[in-house]
Amino acid sequence: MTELVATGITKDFGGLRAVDDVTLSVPAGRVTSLIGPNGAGKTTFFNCLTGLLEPDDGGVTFGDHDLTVLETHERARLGVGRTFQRLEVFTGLSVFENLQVAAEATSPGNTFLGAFKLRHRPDPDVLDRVDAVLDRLDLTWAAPRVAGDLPTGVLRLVELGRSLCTNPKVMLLDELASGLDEAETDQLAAVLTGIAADGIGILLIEHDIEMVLSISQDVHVLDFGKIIASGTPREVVANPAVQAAYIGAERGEPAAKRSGARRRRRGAA
Amino acid sequence: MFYAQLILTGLARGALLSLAGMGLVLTYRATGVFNFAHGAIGVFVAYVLYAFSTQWGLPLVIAGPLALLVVGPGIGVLLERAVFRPLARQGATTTEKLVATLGVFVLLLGVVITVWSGSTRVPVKLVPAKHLSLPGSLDMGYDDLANLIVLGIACAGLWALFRFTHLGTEIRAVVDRPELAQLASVNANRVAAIAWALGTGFAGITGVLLLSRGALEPIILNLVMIEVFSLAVVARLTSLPIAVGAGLLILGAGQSLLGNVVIANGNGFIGNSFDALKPNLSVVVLFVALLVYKRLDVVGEAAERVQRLAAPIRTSRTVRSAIIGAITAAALVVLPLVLDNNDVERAQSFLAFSVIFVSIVAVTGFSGQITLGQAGYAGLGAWMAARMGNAWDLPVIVAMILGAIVAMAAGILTGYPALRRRGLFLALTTLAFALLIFRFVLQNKEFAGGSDALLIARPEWFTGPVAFYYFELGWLALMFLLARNLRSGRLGRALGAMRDSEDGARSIGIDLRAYKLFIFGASAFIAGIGGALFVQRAGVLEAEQFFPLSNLFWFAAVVVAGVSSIPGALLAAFIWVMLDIVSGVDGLSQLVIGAGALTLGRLPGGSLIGVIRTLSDRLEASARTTFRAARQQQIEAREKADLPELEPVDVYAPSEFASKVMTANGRSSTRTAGERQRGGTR
Repeated sequence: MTELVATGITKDFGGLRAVDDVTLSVPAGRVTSLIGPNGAGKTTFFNCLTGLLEPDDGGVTFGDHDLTVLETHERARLGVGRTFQRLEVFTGLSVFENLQVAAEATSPGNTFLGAFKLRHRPDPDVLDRVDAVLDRLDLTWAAPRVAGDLPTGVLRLVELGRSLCTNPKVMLLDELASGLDEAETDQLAAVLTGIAADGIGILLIEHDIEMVLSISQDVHVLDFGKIIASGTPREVVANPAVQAAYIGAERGEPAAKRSGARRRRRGAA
Repeated sequence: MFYAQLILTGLARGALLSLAGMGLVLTYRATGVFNFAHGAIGVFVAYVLYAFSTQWGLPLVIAGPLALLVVGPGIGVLLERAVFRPLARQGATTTEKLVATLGVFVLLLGVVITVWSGSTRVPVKLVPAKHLSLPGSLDMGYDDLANLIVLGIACAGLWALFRFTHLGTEIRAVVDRPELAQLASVNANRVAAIAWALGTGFAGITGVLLLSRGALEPIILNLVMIEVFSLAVVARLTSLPIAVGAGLLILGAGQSLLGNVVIANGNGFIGNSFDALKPNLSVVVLFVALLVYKRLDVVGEAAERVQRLAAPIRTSRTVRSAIIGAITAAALVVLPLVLDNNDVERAQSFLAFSVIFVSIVAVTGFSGQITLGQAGYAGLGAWMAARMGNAWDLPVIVAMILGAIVAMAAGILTGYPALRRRGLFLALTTLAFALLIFRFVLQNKEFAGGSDALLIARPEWFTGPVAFYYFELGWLALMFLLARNLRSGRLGRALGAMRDSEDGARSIGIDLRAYKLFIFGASAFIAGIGGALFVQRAGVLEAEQFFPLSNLFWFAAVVVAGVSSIPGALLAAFIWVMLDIVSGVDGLSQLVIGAGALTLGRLPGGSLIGVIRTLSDRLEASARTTFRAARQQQIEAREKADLPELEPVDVYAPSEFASKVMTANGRSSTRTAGERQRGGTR
């Protein structure tokens, strides 16, 4: 069982500390959630975990591997999968191909030899993997559709499926449920629980608190780049600091100040 | 005193470059558009002045201000209003804006060449050709003095504008923080219009003053503009003072001094290479600056994609495109048999360009990397093939392949900068590479073997016009096959993934570095073959065949024709080589390319190929509806007559032939439904 461990991750944008000394672990087979107000630094933290951003301080390990020195694609090949809040679907490919290219990227064989082949036969193992994932996510209907033509909610599932096709050991899911309706969210929650049951560790950024509380075993709360609370869903909800962070942001008096800072932060991110 | 004089003359020339550089940077800073048409606008204004003054006989006191202060800035306002404001509103990417400026470039040069027949004329001199004697026996022409004065006025004017006027403050606000400026109700459109007016106004002044020194001729100034580009890059596209300083010191005084350095023993390899370097300080400066700077200040380039230029990859073939392909292939095979020799030669040129354009489709259409460097790879391939063939007495075909392999190596080498660069930055880097090849290899007397042109032999059995045509056609077919492989199967999907989302591709374990280097190498290989064919066709290799500015035309032509599909390369070559001849209208090709580049976003399907596909999709759909209705009637008629029932035919099901084609293609049969309902720009 491989555990993803982030230690003391810190990331600055100019003079602004977007992620401040964040330490957390994503154990295999469990759903860990990372919640917090908009602009708290969650996505920036994800980018540090996957290597899209280089943290100013801190490190990431994955089982026996030190990920800190590895590039994004190397981390992905070791089994760190992710989805994006701002969708990064391959819009010009069909849904099937979106998943297929992911499965192929993590299966053996030299892609470049394809330049000299007369026939391009897809690997049957890859096709099976893709079909299985499509089936699991109920996406078979969308397989032939061009991804760019589909609505956001579907594309979030496509990204999830794409990541699943790489046979990940841990998945970082960034606001997967946004854009889904209630029934779809319930369905998604069931799928995620199933994925965790397969022994995959899930780290979930999510705003749908109900979903977070229902499926996660551990919850961490990020505010202004810092973890202000960690624990079981029940403990976290009861935590006064967490309530202040959420309600304070909603009520609005400090909100002007906060949203100003956040705007800058998001711009930088 | 000799050196002081050199510096003085250099400064005067540098002043003009600085002026143009300021214009370029100003426009870029305020609008995020790097204007590749900057030089073309300068040329255009110089010709307009010529028309006013020489052709219409207006007195200079009227013609001068009219051209410099009305026409020049007016072009900027017009461009902002008609082209770049709509683009900005659509949220155009830097790439789309780049293509639009290429459109302006092509159109303006087209107008100049069509209206003034491209011939050399005597330019209008605004400044009397007198000389001023300075202390220390220095000597300065009035025109040199005028350059410095104009730059001084421009700098002082801009400084005062920014320092003292409300408008200047607004411009600075927009430049610094566009979103905040908008909140503070700064009229961004007005600021953009002013920035454009200043930019093209400066370009116009530069054009008139620079061209007044020699002959009025369009291409020279466009080459000068490359020097201006290098200034803008040195200034990181942001700093006006650095642009001015670099113009005066490096390209002005520095270039002037360097041009007069004579190294001892200057006839050998080193001497000749140094001679090639001498007038080309700007090329070196540009290339070094591009390599040194990790990134340029990129205005509004948060999510840079070529995506919108490139339509989705169509992997499965429909019957229709199979038929069209077969007809085109048959036509190409039969063509030389029905043409006379003259036309066969044109057709040869068309084929050579098709090959070069396939290389653009491969790198830009399939993988999303911009290139303005294909002329460099093509030239390098052609030149290496010729030199190696001559030196080692190799068969032509072997030499060609070796030459293309060298081009491929160069492609991989330039792919390195592409690893961290996108959009504009990549475009400039590849353009700088093409310039390097042009200046230091193709124009180098040492390399060219002592003469200005290399004689090129055709392969042994293909010397006749028709035979050589088929030789080219064979290569084109091979390159088509290679390009097809680059977008099919596992490789094509991975490249397509990289094109659509680099972060997405990395997150599933695709090593972008390998793919970028690969595609640059493969594309340069194809371009190298195309270049070799091109010079074999001509029988000689001259540097001008691979003129760096050709890249701008070529890229625009391919993007307008359809950069995401291989047939787009053919169409682009047809427009570029044949359209003027076939239609009998001079300059029509430039009109089509230029206008196409300006309206790209509004074309259904996003390109000319896209337009054709959309139209034929519609035709097919309406034909289907008609067929279905007829069938339905038939069925009803039979029902009425109480005849045995006919099985309904599903016209949407692929025909037997189609399913064969598609299953041969792997699983793509599952994809056809999606293929059919596509047709939008995405």
